[in-house]
Amino acid sequence: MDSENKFEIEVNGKIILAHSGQTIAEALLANGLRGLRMTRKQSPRGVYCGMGICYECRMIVNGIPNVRTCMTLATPGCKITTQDDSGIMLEK
Amino acid sequence: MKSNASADVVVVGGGVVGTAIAYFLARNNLDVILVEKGAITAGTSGRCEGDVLVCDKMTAFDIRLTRFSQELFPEIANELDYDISWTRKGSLLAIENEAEMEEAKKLCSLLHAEGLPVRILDKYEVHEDEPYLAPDIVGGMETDCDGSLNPMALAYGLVHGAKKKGARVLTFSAVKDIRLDADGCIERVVTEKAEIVTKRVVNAAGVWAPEIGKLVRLDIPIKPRQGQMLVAERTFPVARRKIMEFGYMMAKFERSDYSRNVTPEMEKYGVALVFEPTEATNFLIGSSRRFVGMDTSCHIGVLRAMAQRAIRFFPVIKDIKIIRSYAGLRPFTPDHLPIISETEVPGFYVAAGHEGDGIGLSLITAKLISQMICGEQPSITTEPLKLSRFKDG
Amino acid sequence: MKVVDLVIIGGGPAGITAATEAARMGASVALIDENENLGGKVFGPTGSVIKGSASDKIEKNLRRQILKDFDRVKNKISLYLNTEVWDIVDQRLVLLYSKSGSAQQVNRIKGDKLIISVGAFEKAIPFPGWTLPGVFSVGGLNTLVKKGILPGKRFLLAGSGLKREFCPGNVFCLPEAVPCSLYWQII
Repeated sequence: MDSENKFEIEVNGKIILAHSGQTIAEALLANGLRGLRMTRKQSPRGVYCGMGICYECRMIVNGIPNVRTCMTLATPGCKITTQDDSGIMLEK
Repeated sequence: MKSNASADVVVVGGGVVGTAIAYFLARNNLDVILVEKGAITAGTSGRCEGDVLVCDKMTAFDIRLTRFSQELFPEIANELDYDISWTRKGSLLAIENEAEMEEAKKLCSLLHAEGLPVRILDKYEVHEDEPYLAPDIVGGMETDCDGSLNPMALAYGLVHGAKKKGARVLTFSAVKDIRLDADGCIERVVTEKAEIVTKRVVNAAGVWAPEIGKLVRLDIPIKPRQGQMLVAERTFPVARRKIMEFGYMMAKFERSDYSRNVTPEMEKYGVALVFEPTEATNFLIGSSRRFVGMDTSCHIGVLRAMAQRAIRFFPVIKDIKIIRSYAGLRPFTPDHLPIISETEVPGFYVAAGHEGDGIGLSLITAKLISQMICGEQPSITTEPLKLSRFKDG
Repeated sequence: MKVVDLVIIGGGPAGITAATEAARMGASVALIDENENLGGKVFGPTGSVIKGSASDKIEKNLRRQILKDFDRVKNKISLYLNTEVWDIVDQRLVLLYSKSGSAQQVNRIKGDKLIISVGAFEKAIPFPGWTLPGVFSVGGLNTLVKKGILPGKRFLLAGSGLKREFCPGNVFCLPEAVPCSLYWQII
C-alpha cells in the first residue's frame, strides 16, 4: 500500500482522505466512521468479517447499491452514500 | 416424548400440509402427534415460494377448491399468534402476444363464472400498473384475491398453534413401519424415536408419500417434479406483486396445442416466468419443471434459462444481482389434482400430491381431512380427490 | 472456452506456490483470485503499522520469495485477478465473473484438475450485541491492522487460546471465554 498517495473521497456529502490501496471500508474506519448502514429494524451495522462474506458493510458506491465496501478499493473522487436495506439512498 | 405413546391421530410429514392438519385436528380437540423425519419444513415447504393463487388453476373444481382455501388464510393469519407475512396484493399474468390474449379472455370468462375478481388489462393499463414490464407486453390478467406469505413461517406458526392446543410434535423421527391389527386396521406407527398406538394415520409426506403408502401396501402415484428458484438481492421494487407469464399455464399443464416464443432450453426445462416480491424487499424468480428423481441440486442451464426469461419480461433485472439459488420437489400427480382421501386401509388417509399448489391448498386440505376424520360434512366434494380415482383409470 | 491442465481457485500463499510448481513442471495453469492483488489475507498488501517485529520480517521475506518464484514462471500462467468463481459444474468447469467488467471475455475455464485454495473464514458464535459497529471477527480485525488501521483505541478480544500476558495495555482479553468442550459441541 502506498501511504504517500492520498486522495479525497466523498461520504454522505462529507470529504475524507483515503490512501491508495485502501478499501472504502478501510478509509471509513481510518477516519473514525464505523456505522455504515441501518437495517429495516433500525439496527446499526458496520464492518464485521472484512473479507466480503457477511455483506454487512454494503453501501451505495458511485450510484450502485449493495456494494461491499470491504472488497472495493477507494478511488479518487468516488461518492459513497448510506443506503437502506433495499438499496435506496438514505437522506442523511 | 416417551418411547411409547398413544394418540387419536398420527400425522406424517412436517411441511405446510402436515402442520396445517395437526393444527386443524388439535383445534377440533383431537389428540394429535405430528411426526417428521427431519426438521419442520425440511422437505418441499422449505424450498418453495409463498403463493396462495387462484390465477393459475384450470378447471372449475380446482378453482373452487383454491378459493375455499384462500378464504381461510386471513382467518388463520389472525388466529395464529405468529407472523406469517400474509399479504393480499393480487396477482398479474403477463400476456405476451395476441394469441395469448385470446386464451386469457377465455380463461377470464371461466373465472368470472366462478365469481372470481379477475380483469383483463390492456397494453396501456398493464404498463401503468407495472412500469418495468417490457414495452411489447400486450396486456395482463389481474386476479385481485391472490395473496402470498412466508411458507416456513406458516408451518412454524401452525406447529406453534397446534402445540398450544395440545398437539405433540416429534421431529427427526422417521416413520419406519405402520402396523395393522388382525382386521387390517391401523394399530400403531413405529418411528425412529417412538412407537405410537393409534387408529388413524394421515399421510402428508409430500414426495415421500409413496414410501409411507408402501408401509400399508398402498400405491400412491406421486412423482417428484423439480423446480428451481433464483433469489435476488434487496433492491428497489421491480414489481409490486406476484407476476407470472401467461405461458406458465401451458408449461404447468403440459399443453401441447400452444407454443411460446422461447429458447430450446426454456422448453426443455419447462421454464416459465414467475416473479415474487418478498416481505424482505427482495424477490424470487422461477420457474422450471423437470423430472429428475429426488435431486435438489440446481442445474446451471435451468438457472440461465430462468434468468433469461425474467429479463425478457423485466429488462431492468439484467443488472440486479442474484444472491443464491435453490431447488424443491413438487409432489406431482398424473391429473394435477392433490389426493385428499380415505383409503381402503381403514384409518389411513392421504393428504399429498399438491404439486406446486401446496401452500395455497394447505388449509383446505387440513379442513377436509379434519371433516373426514370427525365425520363432518365436507366443505366441498372430495370425489375428484380420491386415491381410488387412479385405480379406476 | 479456455482449457487447462490445472485450475487453481484462490491466490494466497498456497495457490501461488501451487501455480509456480505446476508451471515449472510444464502444466498449463489458470490461477484465479477475487482480489486486485495476489497474496490473499496472509501475504496481501500491508500497511505501515507493526514495523520491525520479528514476525513482520519473516513474513516480508517469505512473501518476497514466493512472489519472486512466481514471477519467474508468470508467463506460463493464466492469471485472472478481480475475478470471482460463482459455480463449478461437474467438478471440471469453472464459471467466472470478472468484477472489473474487463474486456477479457473468458467466463469459463475447464480444468483437468482443480485446486481449491480459498482459505478459511470464521464460524461465528453470536452473542447479544454482536452486530453493533465496532464488533469485528478476528480475521476482519487482522486485515485492518495489517493495513495499518486501528479501528479504535482499546480492544476486547474474546476467544479460547489467548494468553493475557502477551496482550499490551490497550488490549483486554477474555481467554477461555468458552470451554473447549462446549466450543466443539457448538460447531
